[in-house]
Amino acid sequence: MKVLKQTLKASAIGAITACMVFGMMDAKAEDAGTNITAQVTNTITWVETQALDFGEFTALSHTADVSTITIDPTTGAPTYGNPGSARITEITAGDRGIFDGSGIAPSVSMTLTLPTADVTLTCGTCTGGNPTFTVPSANFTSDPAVGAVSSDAGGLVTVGVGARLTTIATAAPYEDGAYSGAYTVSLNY
Amino acid sequence: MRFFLTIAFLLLSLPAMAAVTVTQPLTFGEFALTDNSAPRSMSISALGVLSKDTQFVTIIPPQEAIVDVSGFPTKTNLIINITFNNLTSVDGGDSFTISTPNIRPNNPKTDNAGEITLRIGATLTTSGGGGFYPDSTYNGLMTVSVNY
Repeated sequence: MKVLKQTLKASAIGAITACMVFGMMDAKAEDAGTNITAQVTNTITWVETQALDFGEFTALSHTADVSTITIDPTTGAPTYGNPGSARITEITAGDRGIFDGSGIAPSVSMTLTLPTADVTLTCGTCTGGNPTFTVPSANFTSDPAVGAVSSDAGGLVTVGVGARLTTIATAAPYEDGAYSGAYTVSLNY
Repeated sequence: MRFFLTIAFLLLSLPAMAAVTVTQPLTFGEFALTDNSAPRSMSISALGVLSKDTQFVTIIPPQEAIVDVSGFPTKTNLIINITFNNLTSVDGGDSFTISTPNIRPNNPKTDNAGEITLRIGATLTTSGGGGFYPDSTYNGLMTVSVNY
């Protein structure tokens, strides 16, 4: 009788334990929460790593015609144009501008925009009547050309920029000095 | 003695604890958004196939979520329920809406071990209307509920 009581007691405890355990397991749902992410990177890094430079030269203006310096966007080599009486003579060769882009999506076409307005180079240290040089917007060139710029597999872009400097037709002589002007080249998706 | 044997038998007879474990979170990767004048969408399927509007420029591709389910009864059809919260950034700007969960396999059923691996894709949609998205990481929550 004592053994029977102990057995019944053990079975009852076991049954209660089983009900408790299976009761906990009876929940048929299991949930998991997890983070979803997205990274927006609209901004690209776009820096001028080499300035467009027309070099050092002598410039002789003339009232009837102009001289030019054309910088090749691929090689950076200058070409001098002296069709009339105005004269530009090289002392030190200039070089192309170079722009580097990074942080760009790999292997995608990009929109390159060259200056849309003429750029005027002025001499800050010269007298007020000193003539300026003009860099016409139509003569800015690039390598790769506008419409053919793509990032590489690493998301990088390098663009060479060339342009043409033109003297102005005037009787006023060019003074010695550094002539400069600002221009903008932009790169977008 | 019989008491302990009974308890031991009951414990050994219990199924393993059910678990839902995310082994690969859902991510829409890294991208540039070139225009948000209208809502733009990007979808990553459960099979990892990306489809998107052209206004998204992919920098790092998105990835579907991978979820391991275990401890469920064997050979049992499962009911999967997915909910999403919008993706927001601590840097402000508009939020992305996440919708249209895409689950593989289509009719999930546990194997002989009571386990199954699920793959989950979804669609991200922008606010449209020219809303601004600053450069930032956007976070949201996906909840996977498994029933049988």
